[in-house]
Amino acid sequence: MANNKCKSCGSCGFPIEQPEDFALGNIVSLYCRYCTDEQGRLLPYEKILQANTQFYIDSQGISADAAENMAKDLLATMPAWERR
Amino acid sequence: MKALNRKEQKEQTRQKLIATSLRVFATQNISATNTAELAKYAKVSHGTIFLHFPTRDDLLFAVIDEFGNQLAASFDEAARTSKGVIGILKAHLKTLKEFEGVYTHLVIELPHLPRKVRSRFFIVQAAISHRIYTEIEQEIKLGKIKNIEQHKLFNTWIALLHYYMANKELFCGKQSIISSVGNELLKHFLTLIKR
Repeated sequence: MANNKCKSCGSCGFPIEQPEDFALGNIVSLYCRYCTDEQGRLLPYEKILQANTQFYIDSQGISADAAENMAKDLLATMPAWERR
Repeated sequence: MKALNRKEQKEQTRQKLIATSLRVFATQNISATNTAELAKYAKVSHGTIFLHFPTRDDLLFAVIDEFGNQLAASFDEAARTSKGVIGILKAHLKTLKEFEGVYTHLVIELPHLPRKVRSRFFIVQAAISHRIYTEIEQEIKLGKIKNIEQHKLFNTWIALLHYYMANKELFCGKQSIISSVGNELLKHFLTLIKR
């Protein structure tokens, strides 16, 4: 994706750096490979919530409660989950 | 010149609104800037903003995503040139410099911005932390860098940057703080984490 702006995953919000990080390696996919299964289907909300909570904790040392609330706030803004 | 179709025009207006917001938020408070002002700067009607961004928060998400996506592109470029930890940290500085004004306002105003906006900012920071640590982890295994937890490493780096950015007028007046002290901070951070 050299010289192009990258996209963010429409489920977890992570910027997607490499083409292979899109679901099924398909750059038109709305989601990243971490939010989808081997068929490219979106994983359940609870799994994404848990993964995002852990990302906040590991990356910045945010407390577990604050990280979970932050992950809920984030997912509520994501195309995959905003109508949930 | 080829006329733009409806979809292309819509995308062009969306990009214009994001670019205008980035420009305006680089010089004035995010919290104190309303959508009517942004519409005026972008030379569109107030209603046009809401066709593209149903709420003001949605526009802020797009601004944060713009930063995150540009950063991911810089990291991708750095990874392809294989310059290790220094390459990744330099890529971070490069993008911070490009977004310096708006990023500084985000950092200063973050505690007062809506929770959803904060969560969006922190997920981009999570991605940066993850990317930097992926690079540093290899050097920890080689014994070149101290075995420090990911969040402590990242928070040390980001604390240095944010302190200088939030107080930039004390260090370099109206100049870019990243241009003025970015390399110095990078060297200092490396001396802190190297064995």
